[in-house]
Amino acid sequence: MAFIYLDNAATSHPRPRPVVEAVSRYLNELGASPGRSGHRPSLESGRLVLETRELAADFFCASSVDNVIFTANVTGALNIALKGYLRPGDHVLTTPFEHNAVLRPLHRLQEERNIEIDYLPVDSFGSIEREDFEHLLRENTSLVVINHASNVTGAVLDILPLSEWCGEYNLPLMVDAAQSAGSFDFPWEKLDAQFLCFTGHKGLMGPPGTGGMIIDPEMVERTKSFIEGGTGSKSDQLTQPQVLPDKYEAGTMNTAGIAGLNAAFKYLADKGLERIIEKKKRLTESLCRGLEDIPGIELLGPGPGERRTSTVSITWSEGDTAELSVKLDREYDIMTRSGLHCAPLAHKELGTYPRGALRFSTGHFNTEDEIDRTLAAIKEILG
Amino acid sequence: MADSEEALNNFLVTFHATSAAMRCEKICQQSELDAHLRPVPRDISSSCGLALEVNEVVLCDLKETLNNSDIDVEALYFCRDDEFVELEL
Repeated sequence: MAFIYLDNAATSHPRPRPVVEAVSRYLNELGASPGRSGHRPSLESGRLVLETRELAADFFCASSVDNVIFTANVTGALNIALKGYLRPGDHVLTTPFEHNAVLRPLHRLQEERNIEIDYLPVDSFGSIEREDFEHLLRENTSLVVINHASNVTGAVLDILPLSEWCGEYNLPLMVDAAQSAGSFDFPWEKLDAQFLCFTGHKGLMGPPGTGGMIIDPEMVERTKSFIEGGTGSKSDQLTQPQVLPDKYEAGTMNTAGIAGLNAAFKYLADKGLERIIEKKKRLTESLCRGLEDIPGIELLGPGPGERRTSTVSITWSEGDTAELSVKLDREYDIMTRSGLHCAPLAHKELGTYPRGALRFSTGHFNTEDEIDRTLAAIKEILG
Repeated sequence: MADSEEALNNFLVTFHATSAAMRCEKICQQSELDAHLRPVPRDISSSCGLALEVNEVVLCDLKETLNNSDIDVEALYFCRDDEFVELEL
């Protein structure tokens, strides 16, 4: 079905051909479970997983391959990290621009473990003031968890200064990199984060069902496992192994997905991540400038030319953006996302709660022509 | 006799986790050291189900390589006549 897909913040589409082929090749030819049996296909699957761990470690500048933990998605990684790390009575700093993948676990921990939460003021351009950070610190502050880039506005948090402040106060930093990995040029080697949670199927263009966490070894003892089960190690013991990565990887992993993620990392390197990002930036810029010129349409967050991911959200003064989304889909074959984007507090901050906004998110395979047609469609709908 | 003994993969390295076993195998491959992963024999107690079998010559080079890596090895065994003797690492 030929359509204009502008929902890459949800999941990237289409995926690079090598990614699809790698998944298919694993299922058709290899198929075995890694890290369990000692036969040759199982060993080969294990080698594939190891190589993918190495590629992820290189991409995110992890200190060791074993610090790369694979999960089903970034939500899984965040749940492992939050529920494993936080103790009753802990105080957490976060922001209103978090996704429900952070907000909901925190909310549950607030109810069940009496953790306390404070929200750092962040302007819609991604800046946090040091004074605000220091003002919210308490004796029992044990963690700062931050969305690297907003899935609503596309604003990128200025995270490096924050990571330095956390270091000064010896506070672990947890980063939700769902919208940032593969989306803009970022010096991962400079980021001092104790938990870096990523997804494989958005900016990295891997398959859904992939993601993971880069964990600082110093956090491992305190961070309890979330799921216990088979690991292919210490099978005689009824307790979960504490060695990495097994501690956090019980059960059969999505090896087919990891095969695809392997191909995705190689694709990004082969094509050049900078070139991919540059193209998305150009397309997003065209979209932003075009949207800004349409009467009744207001851009949320950073404007054209300002630092952002390829996500752009708008409101419409004359009507319901959900209706706009439906018309774009049914009458113009243009795929977008309306609503609250699993980020209710972000919309409250932006003043768009409860109506939400309409989100466009360009991807590597979009074209200038598609952007032009999208802008033309919106103008036609709005009359 | 000495030559054929050297050729025998009668040393077994065990690990705490599969990931370490696979990393060790990879290092051997990259260094062109002949090493093979296999299920751990039932007579040996090991944390991880995979072991790396090597011969005496490879073992010397492997020890040096492991000293320069962060790969955690659990134990080393020598196998003769179907019996495994644990050696000092």
